[in-house]
Amino acid sequence: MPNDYSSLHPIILLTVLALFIILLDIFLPKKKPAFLGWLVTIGGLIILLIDWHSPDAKLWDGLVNFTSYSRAFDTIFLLTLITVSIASVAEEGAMSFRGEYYGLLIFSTVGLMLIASSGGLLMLYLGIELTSMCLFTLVGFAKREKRSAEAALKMFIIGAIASAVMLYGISILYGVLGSTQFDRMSLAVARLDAAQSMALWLGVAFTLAGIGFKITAAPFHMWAPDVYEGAPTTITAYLSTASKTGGIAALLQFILLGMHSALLEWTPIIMLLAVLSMIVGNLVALVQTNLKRLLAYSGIAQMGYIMVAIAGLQATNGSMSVASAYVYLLLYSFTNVGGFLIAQAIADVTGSTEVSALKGLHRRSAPLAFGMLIVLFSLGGIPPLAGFVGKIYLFAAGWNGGQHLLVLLGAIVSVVSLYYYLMVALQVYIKDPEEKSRITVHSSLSAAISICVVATILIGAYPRPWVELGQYAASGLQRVSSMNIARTK
Amino acid sequence: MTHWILTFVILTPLTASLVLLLIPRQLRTLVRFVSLAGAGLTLPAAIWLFAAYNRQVAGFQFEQTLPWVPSLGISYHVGVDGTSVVLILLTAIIITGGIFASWTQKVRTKEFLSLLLLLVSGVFGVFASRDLFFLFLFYEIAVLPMYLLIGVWGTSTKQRTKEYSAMKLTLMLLAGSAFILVAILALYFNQTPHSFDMGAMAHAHYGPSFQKTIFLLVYIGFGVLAGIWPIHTWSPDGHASAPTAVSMLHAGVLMKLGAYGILRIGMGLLPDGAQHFAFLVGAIATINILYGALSAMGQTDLKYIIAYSSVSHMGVVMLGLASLNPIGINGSVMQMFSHGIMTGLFFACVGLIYEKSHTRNIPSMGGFAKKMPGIALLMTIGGLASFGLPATSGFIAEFLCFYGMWMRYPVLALISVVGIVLTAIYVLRMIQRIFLGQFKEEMYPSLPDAKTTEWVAITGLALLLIVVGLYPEPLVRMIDVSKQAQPFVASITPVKTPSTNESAKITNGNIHAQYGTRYFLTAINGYAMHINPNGWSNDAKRLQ
Repeated sequence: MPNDYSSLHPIILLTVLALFIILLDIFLPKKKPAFLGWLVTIGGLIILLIDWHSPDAKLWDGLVNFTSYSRAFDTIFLLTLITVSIASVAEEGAMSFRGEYYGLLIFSTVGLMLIASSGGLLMLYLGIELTSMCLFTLVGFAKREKRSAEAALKMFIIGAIASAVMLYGISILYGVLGSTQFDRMSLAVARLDAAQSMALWLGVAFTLAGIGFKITAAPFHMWAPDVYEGAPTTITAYLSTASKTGGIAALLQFILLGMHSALLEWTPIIMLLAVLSMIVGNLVALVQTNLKRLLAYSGIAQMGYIMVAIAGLQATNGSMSVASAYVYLLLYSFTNVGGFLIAQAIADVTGSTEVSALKGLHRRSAPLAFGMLIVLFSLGGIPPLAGFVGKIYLFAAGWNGGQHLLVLLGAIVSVVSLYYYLMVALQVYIKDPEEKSRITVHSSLSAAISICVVATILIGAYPRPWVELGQYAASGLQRVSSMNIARTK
Repeated sequence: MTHWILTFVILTPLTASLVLLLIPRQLRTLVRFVSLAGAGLTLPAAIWLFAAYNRQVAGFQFEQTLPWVPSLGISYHVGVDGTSVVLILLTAIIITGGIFASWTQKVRTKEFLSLLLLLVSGVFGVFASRDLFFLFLFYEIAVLPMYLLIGVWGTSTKQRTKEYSAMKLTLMLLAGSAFILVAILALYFNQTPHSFDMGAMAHAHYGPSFQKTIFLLVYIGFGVLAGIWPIHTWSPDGHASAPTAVSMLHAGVLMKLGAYGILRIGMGLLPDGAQHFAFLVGAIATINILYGALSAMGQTDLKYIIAYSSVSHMGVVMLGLASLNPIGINGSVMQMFSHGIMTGLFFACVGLIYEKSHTRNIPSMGGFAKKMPGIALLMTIGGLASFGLPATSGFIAEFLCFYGMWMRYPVLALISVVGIVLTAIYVLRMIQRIFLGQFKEEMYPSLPDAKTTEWVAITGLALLLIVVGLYPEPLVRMIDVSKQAQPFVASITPVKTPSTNESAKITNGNIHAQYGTRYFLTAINGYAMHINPNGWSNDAKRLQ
């Protein structure tokens, strides 16, 4: 059905929700908690439900393409939006533009949903830009704080350059392949002769560089630690999960739908990104003393692990890579948001995000300490937590795609990573606190943290539904790409 | 047919561990009894397993399978053969003893016992798992709590802080599991349909060069935990820093996980690889035995001596495995059991001595037997078992290991037997310097003997050493690998199968000469019924 626009409902409703919240905020009393975050939560849940009931569709000559893939990724984006919004309720009292805060947050989610449902590089780029623009503003939201302003400027400049590079890459690809639609691109790649492959390689490299910036894959990671440290922590949580998830969603579509037959062009680049991210992320994290910076570098390393699976996309049927990347992003969203929110809860009381502020946390707040332990162990890939299942699945996908050495490297550097995770655990559980006062957490913030921690345990304890969700996501991409292949013949 | 008994054994400590978290920390007695229930309930279950296991049918029994992630070939599949049953029994004994030994633990008791029980359910899980995904999962659960157990409740020694020891132990063991993970993925993907089930893998026919590579990964990966030289260095520091119950469990049971992994995955699934590297494994085991014993001789800290003796004894376990014949492997599993009990007893006694005298420095001790005769007696029994005196379980176990090795690489057997002499030297010297000699009244004004709950732990363990030493037959018959899963035994047929005459000569001649008067008839009769060379080579012929 070419004219069935009901698939657009989630995106339209989300936009309406954002505008409604901005308007509503005008009429609410300032400097008092207004629980707008809970409104976003309810709205987000309803939209999630609608999203799961809207049909597959290919609109406007394939500009957007709603499949099980976009639906599954929308789930991650909306769930992250929800947890971050719930946590943000705790900060509402201190915010001067909370309507705009939530509005921008929702708009950036709209951008991410556009990425996941894009049928070509054009919509992909639009989605990335929409998300980035909102996030530039949000990072600088605490505008009177020097670090926040610095972070925003830094992210804006580097982000703008990355966008320009990516746009240049897209224009080269358009020049070589004659289209920015994934299905036509893959047809053209199959017909390409060797003389043009240098240009193709340049186009692919530039596009991947742009996406690499989004997902903070080394060597495009430089901005991440500074920005993560300076941004308001709730935004850091969102930036480090939903925005990266969007980047990986874009990467998977670009490679599997558009470039799958151009193996020689993208595989070495992805492998390089994987090796650099895993090594740089894990080694530099070893010497970090600030929790937010540490999580930033750990996030870079985590992207490296996902790259191992993506490098395995070259296997004839890349569905295992897509499914494993999806499962990892899902659990990573919960775990990492949980980690940043705990950092936020501690910073609210101690005023510091240094690792040393966690000293003796188990005496000051046993639930926070337990949550932190779960988050750290999950990031370190320790069973029976989510990170364990996720990491094994990623490495299995990488191995399936023939990347044996990458898997071995990944397994070894994840042991290195345990050192810094355990060093944080050491502060939390083994060191004695300098100050004995108990840490109290705002109820909304603790609700958000609980959701993240419970989800982290649950995904690890019973992985079956999540793995099947990942395979469902992969099936969407698979169906589109096999349609492309069928047309090639 | 579905059996819940193994799931019960795995889940009981885990449940207790979670229940403990809900009990207020003030109710210390309740905390102790809940954890005793969590550990103690597994003991009757393990004994029931031991009694109910059908020795005629052999193979894997009490199996239970639940699909977990069917699309990836992961299922919760548990089942035990004789080896697993014996090791589960060992674990149940040690954890029950460990709970008794930490009865007087006062600092953050609740969390301590909770972590200890979590660790134990991981150990049970590894011994019972037939699915590699779950085996790896349980393996990590068994290894990880150690970090907090040593880091929070350990004691710093002169050489090392407890944080250092905890970190070193955790990182080395996890580096090992990185190798294991890669090996498991390789095993998973090199058979169709992809499955983590070990039963399926046993029929996968992996190629010889693949087997060699992966065997090395498995050997290194599990070898870290088994304490093989030169990647054993976490063990002395870790054991010396750990609190009593943790050292008991770690040296007594956890190190066996490493050897078990090599036996089950390395040799069970990759027999060609194991054959190819048998000499290397044997040679490193020999180094382990001698190096561990020599290092133990040079120590003055009591816990370091025991820790190095564990390294040495794990060498005997690996020596038995490297023989790749049923006698050696039976001996190896026997040694795992015997060493588990023995080292548990040792660490419990050392813990008591330290708790009462506040020192572990041997030169400042002496004449303790006057004040604590009970502990002195029991620790001496442990010491005698340690160098394999007849009438203790150590004798049967070590005899079988060396005998098995003799049939394969006589040179290595000869060299490694020297280790027994070295062991006798450091054990006897240690006992002499602690318990005999002049008692320094002014240094130790009050030095009581063990208390009720402590008695339960150490006498129980010491009695077991003697009972098993006098009557090893049920245990040996249970382990007897020649009756176990058939493809495995067929593939471990030794290169040189001694003919009837030859092996009779060995039994009557060389081994007799080496062991001399220590040849203990009761014991020999006990196991000879079941694994005399004739009997087993007949079995092997039948299998071929």
